[in-house]
Amino acid sequence: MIKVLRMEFVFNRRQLAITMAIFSIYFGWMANRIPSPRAFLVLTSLMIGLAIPFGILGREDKFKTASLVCSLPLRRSSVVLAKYAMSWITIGLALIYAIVLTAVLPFARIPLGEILNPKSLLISLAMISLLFSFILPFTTRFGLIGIIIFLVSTQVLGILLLVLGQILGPALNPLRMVIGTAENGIRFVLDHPSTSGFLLTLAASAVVLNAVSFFITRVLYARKEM
Amino acid sequence: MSNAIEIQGLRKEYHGFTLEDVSFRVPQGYIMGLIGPNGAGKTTVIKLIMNLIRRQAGEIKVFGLDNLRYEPEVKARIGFVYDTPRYPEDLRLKEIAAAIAPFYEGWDRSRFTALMEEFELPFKATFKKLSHGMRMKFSLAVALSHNADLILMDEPTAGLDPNFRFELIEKLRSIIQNEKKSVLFSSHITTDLERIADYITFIHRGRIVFSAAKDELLETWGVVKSAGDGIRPADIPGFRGYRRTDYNLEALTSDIATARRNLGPAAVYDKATLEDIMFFISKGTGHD
Amino acid sequence: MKIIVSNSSPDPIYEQITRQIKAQIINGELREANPLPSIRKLAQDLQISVITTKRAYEELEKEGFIDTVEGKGSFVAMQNKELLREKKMKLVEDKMTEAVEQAKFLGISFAELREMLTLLYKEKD
Repeated sequence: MIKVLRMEFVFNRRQLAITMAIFSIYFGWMANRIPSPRAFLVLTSLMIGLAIPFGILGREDKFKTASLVCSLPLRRSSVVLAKYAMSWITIGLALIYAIVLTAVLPFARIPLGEILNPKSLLISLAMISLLFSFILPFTTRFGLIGIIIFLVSTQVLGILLLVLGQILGPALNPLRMVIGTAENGIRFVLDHPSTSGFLLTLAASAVVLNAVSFFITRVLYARKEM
Repeated sequence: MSNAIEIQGLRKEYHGFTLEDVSFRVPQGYIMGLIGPNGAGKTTVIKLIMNLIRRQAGEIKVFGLDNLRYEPEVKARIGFVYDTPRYPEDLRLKEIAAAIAPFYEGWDRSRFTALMEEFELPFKATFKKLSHGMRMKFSLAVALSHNADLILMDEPTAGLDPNFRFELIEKLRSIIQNEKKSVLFSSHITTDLERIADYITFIHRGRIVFSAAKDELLETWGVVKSAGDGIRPADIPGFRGYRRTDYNLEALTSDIATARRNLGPAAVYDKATLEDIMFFISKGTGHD
Repeated sequence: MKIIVSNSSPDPIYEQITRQIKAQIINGELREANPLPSIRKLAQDLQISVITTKRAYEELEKEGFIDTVEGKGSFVAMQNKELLREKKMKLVEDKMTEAVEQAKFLGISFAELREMLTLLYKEKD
C-alpha cells in the first residue's frame, strides 16, 4: 500500500504542487475578501472538493498511465485505495493550509475560532465528501471528458430550469426552488446547534459517503479497459 | 515440460472485431513470436494476458497460475513492453524507475544502470524529451531489470534502428540461455522473428491460423511457382493460398516436399519466408 | 567442434548439424567422451533455435553417436569398434556410390573408374 501511495504521489506531484499554488492564491484572496466565516467555509470546501479529484485524475487520463499502473504487480483495488488515501491526505493538507493562511495572513478578516472548531471542520469535511465521493466514481467511469460533459449538462439543465421558470411564473420557478432548497439546506446545517448527535451525524455521513463511493469506484476501476 | 503461458478458448468481443477460440502454449525456456496483419488481434492477446482488458471467455495461465486469481504474483514475474510506452511525461527517468522498482522483488539496480548506459539513456532526462525509440528502450530497460521469468512485448522493435534491433534480438537470445526464462512478443518485422523465434503463432482476424515450431514451419512450407495455367491451386498438396499474375501462379503450401514429388519439374519450388506465409494466408486471393 | 549451418541449403538445419558432428566423430576429430556444448549454447553460437539443436542432439543420441547425461550435458559416446568401422565404411560407400552414378551417367567405364581410383589412392599417400 505504501508503495502504491508513494508512486501515486510521485506521479502526481506536479499536479499537486499546482493545485496547492492555486489554493494559496485563492485562500489568500478569500481570507482578505470574505468576512463571513460561513461563506469562507462553504467556498473553501467546494473548491477543495472539486479541485482534488479533477487535479489528480485528470493527469492519469491525460497521460494514460493507467495501463502502466495496471501492469504492475498489484491489484486494481489497491490502486483505487491509494487514490482515495492520497486524495484525503491532500484534502487534509489543503484544509490545514487554508486554516494556517487565515491565521497567518495579516489581512485575513476571519477570526480563527470561527473555522477552527469541530462543527465547522466537520461540516467542511461533509461537504467535501459530498462532492468528492460523487466525482471520483464518475471520472473513473467516464474519464475527464465525462466530467466536462457533466459540467456542461448541469449548465444546460440550469438554463432549461431558468426558461421553465419564465414560463411557469415566479411562484413555480423550478430553478429558484432548486437553489432555494440548496441554500436552505446549507443554512440549516450551518445554523444547527453543535450537539454531539449532530457532530456525529456529520462525521458518519462523511464516512458513509466515502465508503460507498470507494466501493463503487473499485468496481468501476476493476472493469475499466485500457 | 511446463508452460510459461497456457491460453485456452480465449474470447474477446469488440464492436466489429472478435477474438475467438484462441488457444496456444508457450513452453518454458523458449521464444514465441506472434505474427499477424494489423488488427489481427496480437495486441488484444497481450492485453488479455496482462488483464488490461477483460475476456468474455477462456482461460489464461501464466506459470501455471490463473492470471486473474493470481494477478499480482503473475505480474511480479513479467517484464512487459508495450508498443506505446506510457509514463508520466514530466518525471525524470530515474524518478520513474525509483517509483516502479519497489514493486519488484527481483529488481536489480546494477543491471538497470548497466542497461541504461548500454542504451545511452540519460537518467536525468524527462520522459517528455525522449524520442519514440528512446522511450521503447527505457521501457525495455525496466522490463529486463527485475529478473522477470516472462518477457512480454508488443511490437518492441517497431521504429527502432536496425542496429538496436539486432542487439535486442541477441539480448533475447542470451536471456533464453537460462531455460527458466521465456519470451512472447508480437512483431510485424518477420525477419526478426525468423532469426530469434523458436515458435510462431499466427493470428488472423481474431483466430489462430497455426502455432508451430519455426524451423519445422520454414522447412515444410514452401511456395510453388508455375508458369501458364498448367497447374491449378487445387492440384497442389497442402495448398494454403495463392496469387495469380498474368504470367504465373504462386501458391503457398504447407507440404513442399509432397508438392515437389507430385508435381515434379512442372513447377519451381522456393522456401517460404514468414512474410510469404503471412501474405498468402491473409491476402492471397483464394484459400481452401 | 566446427559447425557451419546455412539457411540457403536445401537440407534442414538439424540435418546439417547431425551430418557434420557425425563426420567429425567418425574421422576422429571428436574423440570419445569429448563434451559437446549444451543445446542452448550451441543454439546461441549458431544463432538458431534451441528446438533445432535439441532435435539434432536427439537424433545423434538415437543413432548412438552421443550420450546425454541429465544435469551434466552431452558427450561423444563410446564408439563400439565394430559399429564405428561400419559407420566409416558407410561414409566412404556413400561417396563411392555418388562417383559410380556420375561415371555411369557420363559414360565412363568401370575399367577407367578403377584406374582413376588407383591413381588417386597412390597420389594421396
